[in-house]
Amino acid sequence: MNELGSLALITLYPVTLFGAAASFLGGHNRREGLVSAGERSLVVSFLLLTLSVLSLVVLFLKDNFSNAYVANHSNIDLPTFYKVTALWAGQEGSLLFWNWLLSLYGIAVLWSNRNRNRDLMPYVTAILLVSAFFFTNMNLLAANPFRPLVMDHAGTPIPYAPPDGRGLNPLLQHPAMVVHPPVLYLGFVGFVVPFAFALAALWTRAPGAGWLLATRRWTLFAWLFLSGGILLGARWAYVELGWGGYWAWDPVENASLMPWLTGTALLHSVIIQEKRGMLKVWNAVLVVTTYLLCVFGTFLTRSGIVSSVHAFAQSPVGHYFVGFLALGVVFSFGLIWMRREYLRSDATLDSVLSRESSFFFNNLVFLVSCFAVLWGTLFPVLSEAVRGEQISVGPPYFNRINVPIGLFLLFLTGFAPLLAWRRTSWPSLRRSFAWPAALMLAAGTILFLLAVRARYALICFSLSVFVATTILMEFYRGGRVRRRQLGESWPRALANLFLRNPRRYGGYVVHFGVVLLFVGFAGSSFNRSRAEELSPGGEMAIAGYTLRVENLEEGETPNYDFARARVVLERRGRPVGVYRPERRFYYASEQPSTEVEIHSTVREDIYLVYASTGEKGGAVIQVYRNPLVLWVWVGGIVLVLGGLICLVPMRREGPPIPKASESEGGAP
Amino acid sequence: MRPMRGRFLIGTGIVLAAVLWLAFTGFDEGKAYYRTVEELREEGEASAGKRLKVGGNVEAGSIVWKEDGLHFRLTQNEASLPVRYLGEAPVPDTFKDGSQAVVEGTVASDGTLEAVKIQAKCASKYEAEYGGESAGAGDSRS
Amino acid sequence: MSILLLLLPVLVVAALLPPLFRRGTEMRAEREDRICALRERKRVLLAAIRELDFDREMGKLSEADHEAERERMKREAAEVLIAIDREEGRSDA
Repeated sequence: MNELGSLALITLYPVTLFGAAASFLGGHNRREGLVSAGERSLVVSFLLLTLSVLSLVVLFLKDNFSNAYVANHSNIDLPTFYKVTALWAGQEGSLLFWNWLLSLYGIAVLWSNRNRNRDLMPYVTAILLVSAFFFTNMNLLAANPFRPLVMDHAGTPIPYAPPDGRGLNPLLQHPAMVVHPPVLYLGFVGFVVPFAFALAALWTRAPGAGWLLATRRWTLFAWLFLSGGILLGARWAYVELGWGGYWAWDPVENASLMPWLTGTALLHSVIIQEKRGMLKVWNAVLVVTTYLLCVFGTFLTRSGIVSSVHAFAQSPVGHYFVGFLALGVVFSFGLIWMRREYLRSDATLDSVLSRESSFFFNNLVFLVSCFAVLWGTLFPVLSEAVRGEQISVGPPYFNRINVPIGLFLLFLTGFAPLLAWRRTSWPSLRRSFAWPAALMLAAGTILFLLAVRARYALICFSLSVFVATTILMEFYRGGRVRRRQLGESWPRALANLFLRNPRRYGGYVVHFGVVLLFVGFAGSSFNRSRAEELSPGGEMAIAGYTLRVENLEEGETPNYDFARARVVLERRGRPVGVYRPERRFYYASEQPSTEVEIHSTVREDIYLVYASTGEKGGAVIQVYRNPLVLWVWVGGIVLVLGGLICLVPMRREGPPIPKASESEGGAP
Repeated sequence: MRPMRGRFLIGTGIVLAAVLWLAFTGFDEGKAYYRTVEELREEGEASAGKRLKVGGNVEAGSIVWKEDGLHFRLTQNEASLPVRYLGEAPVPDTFKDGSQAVVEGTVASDGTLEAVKIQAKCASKYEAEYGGESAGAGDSRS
Repeated sequence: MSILLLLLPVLVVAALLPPLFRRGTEMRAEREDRICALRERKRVLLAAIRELDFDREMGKLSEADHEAERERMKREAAEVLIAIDREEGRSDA
């Protein structure tokens, strides 16, 4: 199996190179034969990568510890399910998995464009294959998943297999962590499609905004997965890491947030190019930046550059990533510069008070936020390069910048839909603005009187009311128009709003999810926590709750042993549940692991951690009271659902328009 | 058209200026200097009062829970540094004898580092044994 | 197993090479892509006009703004229709 996987990877190497060259030449000289050979290369790459991935999975399932990757990420007693998912537990495997997803996207793009965009496709294929080439390169030279565990000095493998593997990191033995990497990677890799189309369109000077339309859904698709991946990561951190929070501005988290910020900006500004033929350069820059940030994000999570610059210097993967990124930046931005005439805008901004201008500020702020996060994340590296001293910036820096930016964006979320394209007249704005603004002020006043004094939280809650009201009004006014014009019933009118313009109304649902997310974020201003050593019968109180340890127990399983406390939680004297926070010790990896228990309500979470066994033999229980965390998860789900609605194809309305029956561009 | 462009430039300027100001203030509040245990010993008094991030190995057998917090020593080659952990969060799972740790805090007058945050990574015993080079820092996360 | 290993590169080469020896067929003309782009543009414009009408019904736009914007879009749609006719006419010739 080792040989088969290895050979598939080695064969892949010339295939990607050949395919990229054939596609490019075929496109350039307009030779159908070459183009077709290039497309076949993409299909063959997918098959070879599938073979490679399957080989690795089989090695895991057969506990073949003579393979270094398997030995380092699995052990005999690991549940079968985790043996399969250990595929993406480490650097080598996840790079292989990345490459496989890339080729999967590749064949999906080929298939959906088999009768469309034929002029662009050779170049799209070439760019996909060049990307695949770089990842294959890394897998072969710097992070080979098929490396034998033991080699002599000449590099010849010595067939030695230890009796058992090192085991999978216990932190990764969690369902959220099993789906998180594939979902996130589907997001990261997905942005390669708009990237490839954008470069292909620039190269060929393709007429119109065809590439934008062809990739709009791909972009949305990738963005959805990226959002889902980030949320799953946050969820995993919350339930698994045991420090009571879900976001810490950790470099790894920032790595996924940055492309999300530019990707979200892109989703908005694309609409402007589509409607008004403006911001073409801007969109090209955003597409390129987003994909390169995705590659950069993979690099950050995989190379460990930020945790230590020295680790980066030693990590061979780093050089390949830097090389790939540098090449990507030079080539893409060079091409945009060369084609600046082609990208000239068809129109100009007419008024500050227009939808376009609100999108402009939305984009500006997203980009500024992304840059601030990038700067903060890389600051240790930059400061060491410039001043010879590593300085890190903590969460205060990130919060200081991103909280106001987030609030401004929240405001735009509510304000922008009130604006019309090109210009908005004051009377109509006043009319739309009155209710939301009044409710916002009312909510703010009531909260203030209820003694909510945290400044940002107060602003955030009030703005949330404002945005939620504008969204509801959009639905109400839209539905009323349909009722008046077409005599539809309310449920029917609302359903038709979605069907006739899924992107607009799905977008509102996404915005509503964002409102819920922000309410949840603001809740963190009121977090409380305390820790105490409790023996059986011991009690501790926090924020109206009392928790009493009933008993302590110990035990073992083949994989780990554990200490556990049985805790009865009461609110104002009434029992609300029994919880069993636990501390485990995994044998194979010799690592402890905390299993937290969470009492979750709409109001707040009570988060229980078995921190350690104390001096007196009792359990040190750490308890957190985190208000409104549930809103974050619900908001995330609403956001993803809204995104799915946006993906639904638009239903036509009214009398059929002649010859308008072509289907929409390349949807996944 | 011209005055329009001016207004957008002004808007952009305001946004950028506000963010720069926020960045500056937030930066001062959160910055921490990386030091190794050895560097810290060489510097002596000079580093007192600064917020520091110190990396080293947790000395085996030095971890003690006391009334005033968790005590342990960070070592690097010959140098060693006493640490008292005062943070709110429980110590991470990966923190144990021999693990590589980065602690964040300030040096008190008695030379103890009063830490508010601990990050830790397991010492990779298997890698040393097999002579591997894999398992980067990113292994514990996505 | 080793036979399979040998077979793999052979299979790959067998899959990739045939199209190269195909009779020198030219690619489809650019025109079809151009027509596609125009139709796409037409579709977008018509959707935009519908949305504009809808926005007026919702009271977001003044009558005058609506009229001016609709006029502009209609003009562009007409140009696109003419361009499509021209491209298609050329294909019949």
